[in-house]
Amino acid sequence: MHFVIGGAYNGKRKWVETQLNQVPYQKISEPGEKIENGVTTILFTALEHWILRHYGRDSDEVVLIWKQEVDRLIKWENGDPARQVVIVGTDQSKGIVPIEKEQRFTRDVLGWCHQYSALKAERVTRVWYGLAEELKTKEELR
Amino acid sequence: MGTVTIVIGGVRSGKTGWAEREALGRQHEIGGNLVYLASGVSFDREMKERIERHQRDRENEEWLTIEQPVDLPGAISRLPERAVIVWDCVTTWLTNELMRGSEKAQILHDVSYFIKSVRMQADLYIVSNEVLWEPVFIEGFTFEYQRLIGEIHQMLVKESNRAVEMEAGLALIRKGEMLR
Repeated sequence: MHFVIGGAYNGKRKWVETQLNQVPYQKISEPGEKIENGVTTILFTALEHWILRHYGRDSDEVVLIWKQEVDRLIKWENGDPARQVVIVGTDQSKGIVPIEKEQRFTRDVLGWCHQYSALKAERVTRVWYGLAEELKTKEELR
Repeated sequence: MGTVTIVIGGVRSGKTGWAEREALGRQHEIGGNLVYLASGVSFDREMKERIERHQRDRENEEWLTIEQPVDLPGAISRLPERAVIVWDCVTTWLTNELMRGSEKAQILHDVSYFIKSVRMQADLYIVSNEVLWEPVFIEGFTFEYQRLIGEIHQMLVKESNRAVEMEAGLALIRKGEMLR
């Protein structure tokens, strides 16, 4: 699993698509979403929108659902060497604390979800205005 | 002479947990007393929950908690001998100082004096929030805050033996080397 993180409108998706080099992919934006038969590449995006829709629930519960989703995607990926999963995360963590409670909730939950994604990923890349920086690679894990 | 480490990261990036683990490792190595220097004071339920969450994370270890929301130099005399300190966090402390109307010169002096005194005899892990990766405000309290926190972060990175940027739980070493 490859986790790509960066600020909004920083060119994350564009960078990922360049890396995928025309390989078709299925886009998922909801944990548990059905993976189509024959698909080899999954791109998970817009996690923050899903989190915001769960505003009002216990934050630990929402994080747990995400952890289970990451585990599900990794299990699927391990089922065939041709499969790959890319999670694109939009970082919201580096600004002044927002006044709106919903936004603080999303920011908190998103931060924890990103920590788990980075922990489980074998590769983590940060994209900053189109430029990629490798934060964690397979080699470092050995 | 102790070492100073600063870790700066976004909210929920795992910076406090990292600093605590590092401090614990350091204490196992050299002995001494673990100190959690808390700048946060709970003024509402949400803040209370945030503080309790961090307290739960520390409950299996022997931490002495010192609450020092303002007046950092005032914490020096309360520190035990040979302390390994996690100061959490710069951003909250700065908010507290500005809220009570402290002058910029005093604020900069306090933090600088605190670090210089503490590092003579203790290891210090400083935790701070990255809050500048968004458009800066044009005027008012937040504008002054952003300008000051940027200046303080630059000073802290300069003073520290190690500077770490935390991204989604990954510690990225920006200055110095890992001790372990």
